[in-house]
Amino acid sequence: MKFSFSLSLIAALSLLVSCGRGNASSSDSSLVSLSSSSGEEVSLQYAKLLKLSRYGDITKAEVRNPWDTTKVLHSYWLVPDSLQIPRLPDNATLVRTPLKSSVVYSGVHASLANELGRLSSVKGMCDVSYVSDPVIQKEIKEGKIADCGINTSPNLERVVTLSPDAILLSPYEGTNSYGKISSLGVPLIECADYMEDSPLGRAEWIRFYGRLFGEEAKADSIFDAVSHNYNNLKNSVKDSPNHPSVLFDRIYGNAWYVPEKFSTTSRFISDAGGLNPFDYLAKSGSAPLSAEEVLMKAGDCDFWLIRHAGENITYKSLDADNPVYSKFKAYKNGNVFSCNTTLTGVFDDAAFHPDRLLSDLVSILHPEVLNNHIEKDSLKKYYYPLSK
Amino acid sequence: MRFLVLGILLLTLFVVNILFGAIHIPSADVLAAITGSGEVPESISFIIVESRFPQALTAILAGAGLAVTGLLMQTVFRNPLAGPSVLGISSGASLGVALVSLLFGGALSFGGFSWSGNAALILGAITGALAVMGVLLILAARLKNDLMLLITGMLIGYLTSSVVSLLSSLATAGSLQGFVYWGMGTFSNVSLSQMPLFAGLTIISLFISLFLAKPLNILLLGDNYARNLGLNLNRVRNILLISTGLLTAIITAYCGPIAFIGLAMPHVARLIFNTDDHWILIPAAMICGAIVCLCCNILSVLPATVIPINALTPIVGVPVILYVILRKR
Repeated sequence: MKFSFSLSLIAALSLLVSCGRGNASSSDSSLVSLSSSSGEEVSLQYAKLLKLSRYGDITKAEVRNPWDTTKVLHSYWLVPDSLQIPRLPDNATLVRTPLKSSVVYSGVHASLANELGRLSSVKGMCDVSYVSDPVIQKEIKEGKIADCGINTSPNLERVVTLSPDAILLSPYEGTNSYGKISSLGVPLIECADYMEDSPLGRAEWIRFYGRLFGEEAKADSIFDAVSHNYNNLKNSVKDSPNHPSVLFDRIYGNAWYVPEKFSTTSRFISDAGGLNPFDYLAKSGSAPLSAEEVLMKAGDCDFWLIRHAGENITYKSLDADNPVYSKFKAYKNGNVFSCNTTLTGVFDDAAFHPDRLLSDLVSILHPEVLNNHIEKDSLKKYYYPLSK
Repeated sequence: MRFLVLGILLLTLFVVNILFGAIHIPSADVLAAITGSGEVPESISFIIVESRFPQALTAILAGAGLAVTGLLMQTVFRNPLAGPSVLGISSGASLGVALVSLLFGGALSFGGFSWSGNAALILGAITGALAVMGVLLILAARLKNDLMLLITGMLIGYLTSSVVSLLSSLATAGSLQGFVYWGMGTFSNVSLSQMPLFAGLTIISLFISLFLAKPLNILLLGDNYARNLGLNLNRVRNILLISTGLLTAIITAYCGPIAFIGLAMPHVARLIFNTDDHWILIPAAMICGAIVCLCCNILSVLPATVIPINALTPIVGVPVILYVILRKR
């Protein structure tokens, strides 16, 4: 008891020294300050589900429950390896940083680790068949990143042999437990970034991941550049007198899934100076509509952007698929663009580099802006005009 | 009399399917679009003539086809819970679609021809279903027992399901999406230009099934009695395999694996007509299947949302099956 108290005291003192701030004059008060909300909040401009607070070199990350934002989904204390472990609140998850051996469930987080220069700390991955980043593909092929199965039932034995110091996974609604993986005693980082409703909100999570991988400054500067570019583009089309309407995707089964008003896709459309014909659906996902309803509501759309995987699509193949497609104005005027999501890696890029996707969308909807605000050579293309 | 009531109900539902949909279109416009008279916007005319009309017709043909398939299976295999899926033919269609969408990236090319999108899926489904049908026809010559044929069909079904699971686990998210949506069922895949092929094949197969009415009535008396009456059981079984196989293949290819209609509708027909005579049951099952599919179709396209057909058919099918089970208890 006495021994553990001494340890705590040392940890708290070392924390005080490293902080060089605060008004705590005794070790006890420093422990209190760690568990209370007296940390210095890191200002996040866009992310609504993430709160970062700084306690000297220690960072507290609070992830809000995306399905009930009055509740906290998970709290993490990121304690650098160089520090001794302070006494933490009971419900907190301790993560020693920088991560040296992590398992990630999603390719987007592996790509981000690579961008932060810390890919070597990713030892395992789930859903490797979905990876579109060639660097990550190469690492998997060479066996440097182990295939840990599918994210809904990861290969537990493989994960255990990697001895990860954290597992980055995506939470799903109604999932209170992650099965046996949660009993390994390894911190589970619940990456709720994909539930942010704004592109920059999601991208701002880079700052959290940067702190996990011990690349705080680099992560902050990446995000600053992303938000700067994004806002520049957004402002460049804001006052445009022309706001073309944009239709997305096509029929799957008997439904056409259209973006609702608060969905990320809809945010991209409005930030690119376009209009979403389905803004009257005030939710944040996608709504299944019948082809006839889409034709009536969006038949006059100026542009039509189709995301697809696998086979290439042309005007001819669209018409052969369903004659309804040829009734759309964008089809008749030759304003249909397609994006092969597998080849372009659009979902991976849009997660933490929404500025790249926005610049492509602006170049389609507002080509007049191209010369002034977008350097043509630096433009990454996701959507290509459909061939006949 | 009962046929008349069912006929009127069928006709009424067909009209309802043309008049109502996700978008409100005034009856006058609907009439103008059908007759081609007056000023009707192109999109309205398209919705009525090229969307609602073929969709309602598909629902009728698919419902009739699946119900008849179920009826034939139930009589021949003497199993009240048999349906179009028991012989593994619809699983064969699923395997074909899975191979096309999950393994070949949604496109097929062969001998200078290439297919993509729905055409590729339909081709995959028909090929898969006919392949299973071919295997069953070959085995039927060797297997003298209907029960063995039934078990073989189910085994083929399990085998194809395992390959589909394997393909799904290895597929990309995008291609998996296409496969999953196909599995939800729809009557909207048959366009007006594809209708002659779909309707032609379905009607021919339905016509073949009518030839089975007499032998099926004899079969109800037992195999030995049927043989004594000079019935060639192998021939009956082969005609059954061909007609039900073709119906299942073509309907599953265009509409996805529609559940419960084939299983439940023969029982509804038996309940309404209270007979075992296939001269009555076959047309009755056709009309019942068509009526229920028209109901499901109209419910599936409510304004501001779309409900998959396979989410609706069990709502009708399950109570019927429960009733049958409880009655036979």
